[in-house]
Amino acid sequence: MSDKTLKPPRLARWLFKRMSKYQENYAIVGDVEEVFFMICREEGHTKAAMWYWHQCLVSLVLYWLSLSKWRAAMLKSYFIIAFRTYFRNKGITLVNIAGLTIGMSAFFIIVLYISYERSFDKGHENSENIYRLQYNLYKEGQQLRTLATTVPVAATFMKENYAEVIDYARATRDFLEYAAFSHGTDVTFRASRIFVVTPSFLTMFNFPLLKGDSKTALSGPLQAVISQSLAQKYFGGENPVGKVITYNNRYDFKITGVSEDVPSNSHFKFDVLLSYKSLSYIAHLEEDSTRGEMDWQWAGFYTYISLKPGTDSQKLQEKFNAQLAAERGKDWEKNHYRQEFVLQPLEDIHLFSNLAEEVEPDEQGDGNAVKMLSLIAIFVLVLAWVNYINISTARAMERAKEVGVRKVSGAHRKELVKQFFFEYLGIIGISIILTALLVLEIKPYFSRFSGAELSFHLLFQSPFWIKLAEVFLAGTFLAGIYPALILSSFKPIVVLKGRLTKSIKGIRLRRFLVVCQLAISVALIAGTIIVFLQISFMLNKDLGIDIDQTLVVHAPGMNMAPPPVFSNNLDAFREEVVRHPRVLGVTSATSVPGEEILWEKFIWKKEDHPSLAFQIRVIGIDYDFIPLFGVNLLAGRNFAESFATDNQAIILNETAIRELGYEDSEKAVHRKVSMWGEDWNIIGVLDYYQHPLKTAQVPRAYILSGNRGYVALKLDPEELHQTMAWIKKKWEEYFPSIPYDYFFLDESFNRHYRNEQMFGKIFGLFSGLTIFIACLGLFALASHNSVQRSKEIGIRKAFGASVRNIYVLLSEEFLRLVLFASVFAIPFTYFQMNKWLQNFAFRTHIEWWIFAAAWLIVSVVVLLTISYQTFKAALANPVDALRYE
Amino acid sequence: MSLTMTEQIYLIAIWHLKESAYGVKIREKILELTGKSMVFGTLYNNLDTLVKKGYVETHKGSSGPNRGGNIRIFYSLTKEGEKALQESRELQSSLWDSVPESAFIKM
Repeated sequence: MSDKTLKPPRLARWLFKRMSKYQENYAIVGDVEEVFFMICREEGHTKAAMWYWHQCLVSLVLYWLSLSKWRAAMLKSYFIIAFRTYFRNKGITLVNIAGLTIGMSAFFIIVLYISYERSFDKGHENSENIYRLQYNLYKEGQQLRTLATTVPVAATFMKENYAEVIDYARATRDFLEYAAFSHGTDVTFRASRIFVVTPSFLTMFNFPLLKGDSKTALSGPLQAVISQSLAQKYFGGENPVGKVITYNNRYDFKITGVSEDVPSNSHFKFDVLLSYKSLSYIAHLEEDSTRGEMDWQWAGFYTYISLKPGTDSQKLQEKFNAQLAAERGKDWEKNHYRQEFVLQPLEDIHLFSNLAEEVEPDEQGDGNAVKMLSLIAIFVLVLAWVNYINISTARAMERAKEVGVRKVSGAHRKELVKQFFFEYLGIIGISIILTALLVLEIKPYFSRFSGAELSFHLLFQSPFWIKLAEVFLAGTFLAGIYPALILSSFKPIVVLKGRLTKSIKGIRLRRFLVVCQLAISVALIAGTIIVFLQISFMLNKDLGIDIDQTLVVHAPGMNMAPPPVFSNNLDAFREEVVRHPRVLGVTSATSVPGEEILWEKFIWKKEDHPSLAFQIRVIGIDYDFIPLFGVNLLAGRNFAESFATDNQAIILNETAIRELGYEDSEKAVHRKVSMWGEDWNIIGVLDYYQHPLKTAQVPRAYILSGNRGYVALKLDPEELHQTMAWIKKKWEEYFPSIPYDYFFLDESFNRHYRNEQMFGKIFGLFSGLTIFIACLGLFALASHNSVQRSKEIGIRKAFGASVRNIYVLLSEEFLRLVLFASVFAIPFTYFQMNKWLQNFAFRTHIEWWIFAAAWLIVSVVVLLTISYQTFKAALANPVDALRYE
Repeated sequence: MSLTMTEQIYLIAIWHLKESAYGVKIREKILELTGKSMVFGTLYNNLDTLVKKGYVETHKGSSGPNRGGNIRIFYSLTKEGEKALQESRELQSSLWDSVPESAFIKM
């Protein structure tokens, strides 16, 4: 095994070597290395590295113990001195322990969170060689759409032509969004995460079946696999395998398996899987059943391919696209479009993919946010170390005499270093124990609060924890050894003669470290403000549509004609419901704000060539939609029953008007467009935000339609509960077979911002912690500072300086540092936060006052922190300070 | 003075290994004999004790593959070590001979 990557952890190896040097036994290093490579070969590098560290740490402890046998006396003395120091400076000791504990706890919690975010989709065998096909569609040379779903033939084509492709799996939920299942006559349920998948789906991914056989469960037509929790919910203790569930009252599916619930760190989550051979029933492919394999247009399939290990995915992608261009170039040219496929690594989907039609768009992670949190984690930890260094070196003056006396009595510098390091070990030891307790205590709260399942298990799965452990140990060591070296370096003659007044170098370093701390604080506060401003911008932006107090009920039937029972009864239901005094109005549409629009057509100006067509999203509405939702018409009019021609009328949004190329909304009215091979008369222009403000507006068209996806009811906020119960009763009366599945529109719309809100909270929480740690350090520094300058203050007061003068004098220095820190922090924050804001299609501006506010907040906090010490110093009687002169 | 159990295990392991008794092998042998896996630090501490007591002697050998150029230290039993083993064997068997098989109920 001469592989370069397979090396023992460097730090541990170095430690081992040091130990062996003292013990004059290098054989042990060789022995451990030999076994290390053996484990490497058999169980992998991560296991081996863990073993190596274990060996190293235990041997280290044994080594220390063996030393203590003959240095017990010395150790005992270190121990006593350390304890005396702790008790003599209780305040400082507490500040040190608190700073280190909070810093380390925050660090570990963030590390756990990050390791959760990075663990997505890594649990599958061969996961690093699985790719999703991303679909890019170009029209007239312009990129029209970038989708997470693609055309089915892509995978078929790749499997046939390239030996590198081991297998592919497809999944689609087209036509299934509003599926309802019934079991027997009385149980009806709606599962939202239903997919039609190829049999390979269960074998490529690690979604184990509790009952049934992964290889055969989805191989035939009309077979279904349901999740454990769904099985529990609807079948209780019974074994669901072999039972029949009816899909939309039409097709009977036999349950052939029960799967374990999908773990939360999977980008793909499902409740029901239907076999691929059922696709022709669900999607009505009677006329051409091969479309699910061979279609070049139907971009509705999540497609995954697994490659042989070691395949260069980039090369394969180029090869594939080149071959496509050669084979299909003519066809593309004729129809003025071009297709492109991108291989997207499975493990990157959660954090780095933000395509249209993601499986769980609201649960997609944000790689940028995770990077920023990693930065914060490092900041907090470094802050904690810096604090210790700062406080310890600041106390050098107080301990200089002690060092002098010890040296005169015959202590070597080495022993003094050990003594100071021993003091540090005590403090860090206590802090580590407290950190462990605190992290274990906080973990469940943080899990609930962030929705991430934190566990050490995930952390140890990725090899990155070894690097982390090394950095952590190295930093912890440095934070202790630096002050020890400084403190032990004083020359006895200089100190004891009292000539050591100030070490300029030490002060410079300390100032630099304090500026770093303050800069981090300013940056984090400004960052938090910006995150919350963006969130409140999105929540409070006038959407152009009134979504408050709106109850929405899912209706079946979306792309297909609704079941007759529904159409016939809807009008009757509506008339009945509207008569209720608390119901202000009812409307039905194929989409409501915040929900996907599933209709998609090509549209172009009637006078233009069809090749200029672009894709437009179509929402079918009724006469009441626009007035009920309070949508403002920019031009033209709403649909009206008095116009018989309105079934060929269309209302467009502003984006569509712009893309069609009309100068303004007024001019577009009464013009004609082509869509669906028919002519449509533009009667109005409107604009409101259909999608959360993260995404850009897309062209939309509104037509009158009998198809219904949602029934929306505006309610009076008074007696809401009674009204809702009444509506439910009526619904069940009119539509006994359709589950009453409702939500409140404003809640469901704002739920799209859940991720951002969580990020904001985490960001705010940890900024608060960093500032707290910085304050602990400042408090100690200020106290030390005033002690140092007590004589100066005494003299000044004796010469007539007022308390105010002294206060200003002492505070000034710190405020100057804050100002200095802000100068560093602002450009950095501006740059980082601007990058984060790029995630949002509609965003707030970063204004100067944010930084002013951050600066002001930090200044005030610093002033408050140091005030106690400063006042104490300023109020002190000059006699106390000067009488020994 | 008779040997402790740990000392016996180590000495027996070294005896088994003959010429090839160095760290890694001794650790493996002990694992094989007793089912206990130990940290190298402990291993060498115990070996050092045995050397100090004069039951075992060492000589430096060459390095081997995958050792990063570090030498191996080989251990072998001294006359004294062999004698001590022999004595503890006699002691133990005489001890156990005095207890009948049926003395303890099998759990």
